[in-house]
Amino acid sequence: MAEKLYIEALREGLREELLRDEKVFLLGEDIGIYGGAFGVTKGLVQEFGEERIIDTPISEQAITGIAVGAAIAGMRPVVEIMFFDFLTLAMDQLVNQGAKIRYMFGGKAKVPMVVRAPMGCGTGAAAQHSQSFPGIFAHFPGLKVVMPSTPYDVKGLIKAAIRDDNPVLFAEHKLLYRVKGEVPDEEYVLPLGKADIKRKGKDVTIVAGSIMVIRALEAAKELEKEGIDVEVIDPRTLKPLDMKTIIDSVKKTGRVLIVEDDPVSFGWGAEIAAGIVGSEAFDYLDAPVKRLGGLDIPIPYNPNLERHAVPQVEDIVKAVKDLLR
Amino acid sequence: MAQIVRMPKLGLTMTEGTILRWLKKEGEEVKQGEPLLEIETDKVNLEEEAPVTGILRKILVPEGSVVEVGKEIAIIAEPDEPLPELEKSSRPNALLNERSTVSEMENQQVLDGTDARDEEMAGKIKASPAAKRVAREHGVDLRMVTPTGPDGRIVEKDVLAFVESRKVRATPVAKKIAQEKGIDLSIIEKPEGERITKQDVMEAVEAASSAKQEYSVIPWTGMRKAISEKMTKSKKEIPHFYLTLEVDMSKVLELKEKLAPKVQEMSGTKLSINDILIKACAVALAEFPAVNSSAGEEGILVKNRINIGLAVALENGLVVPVVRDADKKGLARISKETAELITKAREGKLLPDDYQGGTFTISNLGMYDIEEFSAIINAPESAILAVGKIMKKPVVTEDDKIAVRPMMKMTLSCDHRVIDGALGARFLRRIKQLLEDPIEMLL
Amino acid sequence: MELTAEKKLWMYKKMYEIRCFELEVDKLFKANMIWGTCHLSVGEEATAVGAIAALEEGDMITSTHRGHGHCIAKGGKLPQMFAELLGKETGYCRGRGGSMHIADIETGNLGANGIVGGGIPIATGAALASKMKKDGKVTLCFFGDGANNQGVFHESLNIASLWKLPVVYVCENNQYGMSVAFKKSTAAENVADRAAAYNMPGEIVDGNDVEAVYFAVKKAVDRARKGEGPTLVEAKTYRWLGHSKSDANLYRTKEEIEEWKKKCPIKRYRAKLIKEGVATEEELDKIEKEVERKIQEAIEYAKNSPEPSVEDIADGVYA
Repeated sequence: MAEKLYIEALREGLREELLRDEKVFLLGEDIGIYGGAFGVTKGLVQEFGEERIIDTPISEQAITGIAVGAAIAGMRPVVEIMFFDFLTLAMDQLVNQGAKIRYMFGGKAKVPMVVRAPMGCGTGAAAQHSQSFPGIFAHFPGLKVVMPSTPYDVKGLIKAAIRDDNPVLFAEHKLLYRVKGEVPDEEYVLPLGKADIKRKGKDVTIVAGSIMVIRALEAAKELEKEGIDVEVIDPRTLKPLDMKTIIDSVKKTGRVLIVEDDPVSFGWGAEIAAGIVGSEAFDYLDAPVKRLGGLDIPIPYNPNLERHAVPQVEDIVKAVKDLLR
Repeated sequence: MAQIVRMPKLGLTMTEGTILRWLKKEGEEVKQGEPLLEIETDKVNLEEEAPVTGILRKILVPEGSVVEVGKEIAIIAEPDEPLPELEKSSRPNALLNERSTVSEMENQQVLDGTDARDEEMAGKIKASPAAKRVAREHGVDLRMVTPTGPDGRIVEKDVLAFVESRKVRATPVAKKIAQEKGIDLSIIEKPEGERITKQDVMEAVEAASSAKQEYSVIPWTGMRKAISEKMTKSKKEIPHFYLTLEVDMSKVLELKEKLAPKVQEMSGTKLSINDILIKACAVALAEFPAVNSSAGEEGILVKNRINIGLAVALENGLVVPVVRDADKKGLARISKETAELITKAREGKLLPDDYQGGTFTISNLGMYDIEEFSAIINAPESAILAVGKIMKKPVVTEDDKIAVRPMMKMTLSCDHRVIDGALGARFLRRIKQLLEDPIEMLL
Repeated sequence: MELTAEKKLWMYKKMYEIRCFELEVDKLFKANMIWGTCHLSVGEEATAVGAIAALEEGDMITSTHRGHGHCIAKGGKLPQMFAELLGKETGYCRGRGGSMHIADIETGNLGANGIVGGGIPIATGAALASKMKKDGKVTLCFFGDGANNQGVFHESLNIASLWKLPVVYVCENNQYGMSVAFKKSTAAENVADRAAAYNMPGEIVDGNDVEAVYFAVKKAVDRARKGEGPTLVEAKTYRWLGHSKSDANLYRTKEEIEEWKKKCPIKRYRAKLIKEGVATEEELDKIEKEVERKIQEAIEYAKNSPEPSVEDIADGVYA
């Protein structure tokens, strides 16, 4: 067990899969010698060559569509979209083609591909390079959506995503790349569709995804000083979504706060809230289900404005206290 | 015309009442004079009657709530009549600042949609799903539960607290007072299903405060401690039985009359009935040595000497000085010794020799007008004679005539381990014979 | 480069099959037996058949919303095709896809596509796979003139040329993107002219001449298979019927349609085959009769096939 950065664990996962299966290849903008806009693929082109670590033109839709075609034809492409925001350019190929093909074809095709993209604000990149919206992809039947929060999870889940026979959207928060955590030396793969209890507690459940897991854990530490025992659940994959772990936790604590980096309106937090309220956990709720998420604004540039656009640790602390009022 | 029902003042001191039960439901028809609800005051539970005939349109205060006198609790009106607007704060405990009459209210009866909705909402109980579930599981009426959650919401712990409190069923006022006065409600006993009321708690409060002034503590020390321990041990260890008979004391009194001057002359003391009783018992004991004994570990210890103890009452207890070898002493001597012992006892000057070594005891409470009583054996002795007052009574004489005679009752307490009934009876009868023919004992 | 008689007769038969299929679909639609819309390729049979005739077995195609002909030419089975149009469990897509999504991965048909231009990057990706796997396969990408104005057309052709992918882009220019005439939608004179921008050959061919299409595509396929990169072939043709089943043909004249009908690829080829002595009238009639019989059998099969079960509605969303 060694401590590694999220970005290192992710790269290791990609590398291990490239080594394991020659059908696996990466394509994306500036992922070769440049190493990717955030350095995720650094060093891979040297090891695997330009044929498997493919620098593409700036053509998000074609890249994604090429991945769909290659996947149908038996390969396991992993696309990097430089910024999550650019996924809008690839929407047809991702949601009309990749996600729907198998069903449209009566279950007679497989589309084993991964689309990775770094999301989130906190880098001063403003509105078109900062939004987190993995939630909307969970809305499309046929896609799987993964958003790992820790180095351990990102490695285990990227490997699972690559091995999965469906198109998987893999949402990486930029601020997580520099987060450190324990990563086992031996090989492991994590299941898609299994939530993780990041911290056990009895007073209130926080369901948080991606970067918000880190903030929720920090908030939990703060709250612990005041005798508030917080349980933090990380769904890890939005689709498939492990509601059972969430429901079990809410049944235990009776109170739940959902924290997402996506804009809160129509966000995945609403889906989870509805899932809780519509489940047997309803009868265990001792307070209204509370949600925290990004404001309904494009991400602003000014650092102070940017900070206020999405939930921070203090917002989570306050929201939990509100729940326990 | 709409009539607002208010919490009535049902006694001079009543300031608030608890609504125990609504006897009519919302929407039900009520006739004037029909019982409408049950109210608990600090004194009683009363049924309050409907003031007018109409439909019970609105119950403003749920069961279990404490309401200030004069506060509106319900509205009776015609079926379709618009309801009067109530004061903004319609929470049960809110004080009524102004007593507005019904007609005043009607003047301002504007019932807009918002208020109608508010009223509807007021009828609903705000409780979390968890609270509702726990209420369901425990059969709790949420209207009885005090909310502590935000915005007046009942949360799970409120219901759990209620369930806990219900283990002692008490009205909210009773609980409140009990809490204030530090009364543990579980000490108040009520029949199954009945709730502890304010009155019960107030009684408990009074009882607790008066109980505190009812005694002062005399520590278990000295003579008290000795008596306490000795009597407890005796009554606990010795299987007592009791024999009672009545003695004609005519001749004893005659004898006393006769001998008193002589005794006075010889010993300087006044011959008493007790002296004669001591002598009689000593003579009888000489004849029944089995009674002059004690229960020992290895068997019955039959005493060789006859030492008669006489219970002497003191201010804070009693002592039993002993007349030794009473069987061998004449009345004058016994009288002298008894007098000395009593004096010493009252002055607290008895020496161990004066009260130790008794083999039989006499306790006489006749001077306190006691007719008869049973005494506790003065262990390790085996019997004690309890003597009552000499009273003139009509008796049937041997020749079947009614005569007035001074009669006295004696009760012999015996240790059954040593003395059986017949033995005790014969012994007691022997005393009786000696007292009824006292010349014999002087032989 | 010579075509065998066998191949020529195969091409005739396939074109006739497509024609019959499309006309039967039209009838079935009018008889209210087909639930959704269909885009028929009557008049365009030569491009589908000529292009696919240039492929080897195992090569792949991506098709379009007007894809029945591609599927038939690629070896698609008529009963499963009719069954799909009738929404039956026995259809190619178990009744989940319908006309616009018929795919037959086994025969290398990577599917029709409901999105104009949607198949272009997919074909490009399949070609990339072939290049990486070195399986020697070529992917043939059909698209219409409408798709040549989609961004992804340009993105894909650029990449394919850049990476020298074994792909052939066949534009079936039937003159109209739904109702908008090619001239009104495209700044270039020809779709094929755009090939120059991506440094690949651009060929224009008479789309109603099945052999001309064959030869043009064959050249492109050979080039692709040799690793020399993609070619853009533009086959000029014409759709006789409306865009879909709700087209009143208000944007073109009857005369124009009649003019193109005179250039019927099947009639033309029949005359050619007889003239060249490849087959007699009788022999070709026999082929036609056989096709008609097979079509009717296929329709019967489809009609008698079971409906998909609602219980299985979610089958196939995820692998």
